This record gives sequence, C-alpha cells and structure tokens, in this order.
Amino acid sequence: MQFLEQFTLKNKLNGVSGKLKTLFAVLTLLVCSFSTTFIVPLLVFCIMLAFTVVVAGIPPRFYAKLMLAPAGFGLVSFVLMLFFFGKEPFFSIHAGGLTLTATKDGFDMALISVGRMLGSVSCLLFLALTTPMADIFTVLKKLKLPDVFIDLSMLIYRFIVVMVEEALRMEYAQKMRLGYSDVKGSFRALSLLAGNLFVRSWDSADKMLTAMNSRGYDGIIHVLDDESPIPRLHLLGLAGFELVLVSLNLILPR
Amino acid sequence: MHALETVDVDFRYPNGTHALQGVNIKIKTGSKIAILGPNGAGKSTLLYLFNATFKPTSGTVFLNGDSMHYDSSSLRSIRQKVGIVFQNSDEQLFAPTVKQDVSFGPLNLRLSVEEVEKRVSKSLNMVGISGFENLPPHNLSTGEKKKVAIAGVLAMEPEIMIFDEPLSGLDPRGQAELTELLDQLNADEKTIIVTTHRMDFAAEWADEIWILKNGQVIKKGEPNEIFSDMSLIHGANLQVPMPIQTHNELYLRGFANKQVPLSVLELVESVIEFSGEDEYNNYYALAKDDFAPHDECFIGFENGALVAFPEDFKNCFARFRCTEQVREGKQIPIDLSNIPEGKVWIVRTPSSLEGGAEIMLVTVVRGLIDSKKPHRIGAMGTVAKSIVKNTGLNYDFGGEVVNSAVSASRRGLSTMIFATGKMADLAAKRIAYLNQRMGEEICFQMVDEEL
Ligand SMILES: Nc1ncnc2c1ncn2[C@@H]1O[C@H](COP(=O)(O)OP(=O)(O)OP(=O)(O)O)[C@@H](O)[C@H]1O
Ligand SMILES: [Mg+2]
Repeated sequence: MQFLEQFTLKNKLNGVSGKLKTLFAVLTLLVCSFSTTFIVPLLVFCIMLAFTVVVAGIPPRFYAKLMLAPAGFGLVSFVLMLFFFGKEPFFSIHAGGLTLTATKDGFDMALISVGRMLGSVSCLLFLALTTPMADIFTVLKKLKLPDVFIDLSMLIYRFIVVMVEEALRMEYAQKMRLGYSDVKGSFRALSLLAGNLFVRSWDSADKMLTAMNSRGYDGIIHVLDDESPIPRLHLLGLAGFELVLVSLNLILPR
Repeated sequence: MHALETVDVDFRYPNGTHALQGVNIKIKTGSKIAILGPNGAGKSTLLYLFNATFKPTSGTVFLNGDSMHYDSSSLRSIRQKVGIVFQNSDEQLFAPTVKQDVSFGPLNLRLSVEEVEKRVSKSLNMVGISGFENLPPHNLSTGEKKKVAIAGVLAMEPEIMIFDEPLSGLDPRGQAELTELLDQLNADEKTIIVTTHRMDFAAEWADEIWILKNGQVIKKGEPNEIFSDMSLIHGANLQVPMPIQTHNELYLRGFANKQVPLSVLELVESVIEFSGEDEYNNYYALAKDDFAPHDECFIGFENGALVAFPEDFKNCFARFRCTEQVREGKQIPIDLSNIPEGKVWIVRTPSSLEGGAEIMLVTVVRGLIDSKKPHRIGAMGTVAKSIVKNTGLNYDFGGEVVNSAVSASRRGLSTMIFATGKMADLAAKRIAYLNQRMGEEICFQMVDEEL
C-alpha cells in the first residue's frame, strides 16, 4: 500500500496534470468495459501497459506482480467459460474417460469478458501507480460529488496510513519482545494488536478532530486545490483517443 | 494589557482526571512565555483552553480582556487570534498534501484564494520547508512534519502563537532555526507561549516562566529568579540549565561572582570578571610572521597549536595588538588586556522581498561589507540569510547570532549582523540588555538608512 503510493509521487508522468491522468484512466476504463469486441480491451491493455511501464517508468517486475492475481483469475474464468457456457460445439478434449467440449459462443464470451477485465485492471493500475491521491480528490471535487463523500475519503486515506504505521510499530514492538515466538504466543500477540489498533485509531481520530477544530474546522474541509487547467492540446488528444476506441467498437465485428 | 488571562480555571477530562485546578495565569501582550512542569502537569491541557479547544469546567479564560464565549462565531474569532501548534504533529496533519494542509486554516478564515496561496508559500518559506508542497505529510520525517504543522498555524497569522514542545524532534540546527523563528514572530509583536522540557532554552529565551505541577501554578517569575531557586526546580522535576549548574559549582568553590548567568556567554563573563583579566598573560602563540609593536595580531588554533597571523584566518578566535617586536617562528605573548574594540553593526533588511529588490540589496550589502570590513558576518531571519547567501559570502553566525557577536566582540572581532525587519530592533535591545547584565559596553551601531 505504501509502495503503490511511492510510485505515484515519483514517476516520469509527475509533470502531467493529475486531472488529465484521472480522466484518461476513467474514460478508457468506461469505454473498455462496455466494449463489444475483444480487440479494444486488448488494445487498451497494451496502451496502458506501455504508459505505465515505459512512459511512467514503473519497474516491470513490480507491475507484473500486481498483474499476477487478476491474470490468474482471468485464466481460470477463461477456461470455465470456454467449457461450461454456450451451446455450439467448438472442439473437444478426451482425457481419461472424460470428454470436455469447448463451445464456440463460450469462447467468444470468455475472450470478451476476460479482455474487458484485464483492460480495466490495467486502467486502474495506471491510475493507482501514476496519480497521487490528492489529484484524484481534486477530480472528485470537480465532479461535484457531495462534500461529505470527499471529506470522508480524504480522512480514510489519511487513516489507512496512520493505521498501517501504528500496526507496524506495534508488531515491531511485540516482535522485539519475542511476541511471535510460538503459535500460542502469536495468537495472543495478534489479538492484542488488533484490539489495541482499534483503540488507538479511535484515540488518534479524536485528537485529530481536536487539532482540526483549533484551526477553525467548520464541518467542511477546505483545502487549496490544484487549479491549473488541463492543456487544450492534451484534452483534444484524449478526446480523439477515446473516439477512436469507441468507433473501433462500432466498426469491428462482434 | 493582558493577551490571555485565566481566573480560577478548573478542567476535568470526561474520564474524571482533574487536569487543572484553580489556575490563575496572566500573560502580557507581546511577551515570550515559557510554561514548564513535569509530565502530566497539565501544560498541554492549559494550552487547549487558551484557544477554546476545550472549555473550562469552571472559571473563566479572558482573551485581550474579554471573557471567552464558546458559540461558533466567537470560536472562529478566538481561533483566528490564538493559534496552537500541537505536541504531536501527526495529530495535526490530515490533508493529502503539505500545501493543502497548510491552506486549511486560512481557508477556514474565509480568505481569498490568492491571499491563501500567498500565505501558504510565505509560511512554508518561514519554517524553511520548500520542495515538499505536493507530498503527502506522512512521507516526511518527524522534524519536517513539525515544521509543516507550524506553517499550518503561521498561515492563519494569529496574534498569539502557542507551541506545545516545539523543539522536540528537531535536530540542533532545526532547533536554532526555530528559536530564531520564535524571536522573529515576537519581533512582529506577537505574543508567544511555549511549553518545553529544555531548560537552557527556557532560561535564555523566555521573558517570563510559569511552572505548573499537578494541575496548579506553583511559581512564576523571570528566568534568573526561577532558576536560582534550587528546591523549587527539583521539586518540579526540572533541571537547572547547564550554564547555571556550572556557575553554581564555580561559585561554591569561589571562582565566580554571585549573579546567575542565563547563557554560556554570561557564565564566561562572570568568571572573567571575578578572576581578573591579567590571569591570561602567560599565554603564547607561534608567530607566523614578523610582528612589530602595535601590529594587529590574529590568534587561533592550527593543527592543535596556538598560532598568530597578521591577517584574519579560518580558525581565528581573537584579535589583539602586539606590545613587542617578535620574529617569525618565535613565541608571541598574547596580551588579552590589549584587545582592540570589536564593533557590532546591525543592518536592517526588509522583512519581505518583492520582485527584483533582492538584486539591488545584494549589491548594497556587498558594498557595506567591503567598506566596513567586519571580521564576522551574522544573519538573523530568513530574508537576511537569503540576501547574505546571494552575495556569495557565507555568514559565520546563523543561530544565537547576538550572543555570538557579543562574544566575538569581547575577543576583539567585529561583526556585521544582518537582521530581518524588526529583528534588528530586537538585536539592538538584546545587546543593550547583555551590556547591562554584564556591566560592559559593547559598542554597537544601527546602520539603518542604507538599505
Ligand atoms: N484526553 C485525555 N483524557 C483523559 N485524561 C487526559 C487526557 N489528556 C491528558 N489527560 C490527563 O491530564 C493530565 C494532564 O495532561 P497534559 O497532557 O496536560 O500534561 P502535560 O503537562 O502536557 O504533560 P507532558 O509534559 O507529558 O506533555 C495528565 O494526568 C493526563 O493523564
Ligand atoms: Mg503535553
């Protein structure tokens, strides 16, 4: 979690407007998930991969690790759909006394759904690896989402970090005093940690509210947002790109 | 006029802890106050009452002579006037980026976005943090977080500023810079209140000290008054600052006079005054040149040996006039009773830099240094420091500037102090104060008109 964030703060796309990156990721994600052909998601996947790894300079190994889980899930879904959905026979596998029949429409469906899934994941990873949270909050605000929603997300973001730090600190303190040396001890240490984490988070939330009050908090969090506009050229480029994706969907056979 | 006053204030936490019991405190407008006391004495709790973060269980808090009210419009005006920097900066920082966090306070004051932008960059600049604007606060070190927390309160420009243990977690240089920042704020007529466990800082910095214990005020007074009361100090789990400890030890053995020194400088003066200056006459340095009577002679250590040069050099610590003819390579007697006057010049720089003013200032500063030829250069405050740096010269004194300059002057070296805005008056006042405490006349001069 901390790692993901490190990359958002230090990658080669830092200079690019956060709003643009968010729009790019979200719009592409939408187009990708409503695609009717598997070619568009595949294209999206490749483009996002290139942007994340080549342009932004995220280490390929790290990216591969993050992709591993969705890819595994995709593979399983693919196999399942291929053999257990649809009617039109495609080919059969004889293994032992069993016959597995793959279906033609099952294959098409698997291709599209797994493609959409991977394409969307690549969009999200692009967003998660190149765009600092602050920029995402700004976009949410620009989209006129309710203040409560945005304030809450901001505080949740902050508290995830507080909690992770607190948990790591406590775990370290326990380990230092041999807290996890055997199974029984591990259970005891873990339950202490979990219980304490709750109390401490509650306490630090309380203190943070006190501190916010002392700076004049009035129920809505006001902070300066990055007001720099997205360059025209970039916006046009983005619009063009999404148009191409949409029209590919219309042109290409289903 | 009192900036803050509490009358019979009691405070209980919801769990029943009786943290403050009948506290009566008066804080003069424009003063520098230190609140000392053991852990759990109620210092932080008292500070929360000062900006109405907590409401006293009984008793009243007065701000500028008016009793505090706790409805939302009064609260806003109180918090605009009284700013607190909390003990633990993690509690104070919450926004996704440093810049956003600092902007939170001023935006709550309903200031325009341009004004807020200006204040944010000004306050980040004042605490000496830049380049971190777009990072999330949890990515910073403890000391950096502290500075961001301070900037967050500075940006609200309150007239009373409260710091709960501002020095904890800062490195020595950060501590010196923060001390200077506190002085700078005070020079701008702000009332400053700090709590601290650093006794030497409290002794040297504060105008007045209040000691709290078990939720009650047990003593108030000027630093020398407070720190000469040993039983009080130990009774409050405190410690006597190092210069006073040393002085006490010397005094008991008959090597110092009675006056309690609040800094190392005063301690040294006290010892010198007591023992007389002719004690120094049997020091010798290796002459690195030929010297004639009345020649200027600069002494200092080189590779562990005391040497004398005709010119100022890097490790030089004193200047005197020769009394006799000495050839190069021979020993020259150091006559510290023959120390020429070490002048102190105080030059006021503007308190903010607008546009291209800096380039012009840099030439003027350069000219001043070239014409007066000070041996040492001191800089107080961010603007002065940046101007001096831009002349290509380095300042010798960046922290404890006045003390260092006075000490240098006592060793025959002259210093030019560049001070930001009202800090110049502060420096002048401080020298006058030291002169009076030490019974010595350090000659100093304000060179105002040139900048
Ligand atoms: N949130 C709280 N709830 C209940 N009791 C508290 C709370 N905060 C502090 N106390 C208690 O109030 C008393 C005064 O605490 P306070 O934090 O004001 O001390 P302090 O003088 O600031 O100490 P330190 O030097 O350790 O910062 C202590 O006995 C403490 O246990
Ligand atoms: Mg405290």
